[in-house]
Amino acid sequence: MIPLPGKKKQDAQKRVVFVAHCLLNQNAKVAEFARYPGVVSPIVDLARQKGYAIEQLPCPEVLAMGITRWWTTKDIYDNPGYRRHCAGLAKWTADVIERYAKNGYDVRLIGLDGSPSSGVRFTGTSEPIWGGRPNATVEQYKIVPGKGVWIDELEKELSRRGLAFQKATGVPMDDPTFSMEKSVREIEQFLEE
Amino acid sequence: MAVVADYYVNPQNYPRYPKSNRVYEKLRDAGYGIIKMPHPAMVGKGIEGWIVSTVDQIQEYANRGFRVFVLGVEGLPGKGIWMNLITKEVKKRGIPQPDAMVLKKTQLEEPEAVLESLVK
Repeated sequence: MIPLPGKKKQDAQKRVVFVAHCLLNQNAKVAEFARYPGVVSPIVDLARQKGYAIEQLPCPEVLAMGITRWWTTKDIYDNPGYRRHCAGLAKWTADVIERYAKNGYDVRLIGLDGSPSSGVRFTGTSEPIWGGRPNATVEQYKIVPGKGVWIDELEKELSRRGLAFQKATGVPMDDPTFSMEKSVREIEQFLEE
Repeated sequence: MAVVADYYVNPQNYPRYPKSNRVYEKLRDAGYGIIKMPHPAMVGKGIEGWIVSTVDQIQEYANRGFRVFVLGVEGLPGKGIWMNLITKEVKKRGIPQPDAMVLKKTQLEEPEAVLESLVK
């Protein structure tokens, strides 16, 4: 029997951060959009150094469309079938989040801002909505305020259980203007709050 | 691709085990993507979802030419990774079993030699 993590810890030390899948596994990114070979170490190492346990969210895009999928937008993913897929993942993911919450953990979220699925503060859209043969350029991908479909469904499931992440943010790695230096400063502040 | 037990990313949560970051650092520095299983005490009836989705990824990455291995910890239930359930699900699908390694407690602080054949 494994003791619950942090059973003997002071409340201040009971901290866990759920991270977007691709922060530990850049192989899950759409081809050409990975910025690191595997682990996004500046973010993951920072959270570990700050004393957070790390939990990895599933990647709904890989699980639905695999690793050779085209890149796409929230408009395209925002359909009943993909939402049902995300809602299904949310049920067993929320079980883990709920256990941490019920054991007195400070439960936080670091998503992937700009992502159509894992965006927390920002997601990606197109105007007009794309369809048919893929021929869009990266410049046509618009970053707009809003959540990705996956985060939206996960938060709905948590809400049904009377739960919510205590704090949530995203690393804007899907934004073409992304700066890791700036993000590390923001995430450091986020983890210290 | 490395599918790993929670211990390897969160060793501080395992009081009876060394607080060793060496495996994590080795995988990180070698450029491996990590699929981390949840903490064993934090998963209940939802385990089937974790197992099916993990094996989906093992299958997908292997089909696309990735080298995939599974890394557990001796002494933890299911090797800290539900090794028996993963093996069963892989067998059910009739796909090749991924390479697997289970480190002993004594190997966790100096894992480099034992990992040499696996992490390249």
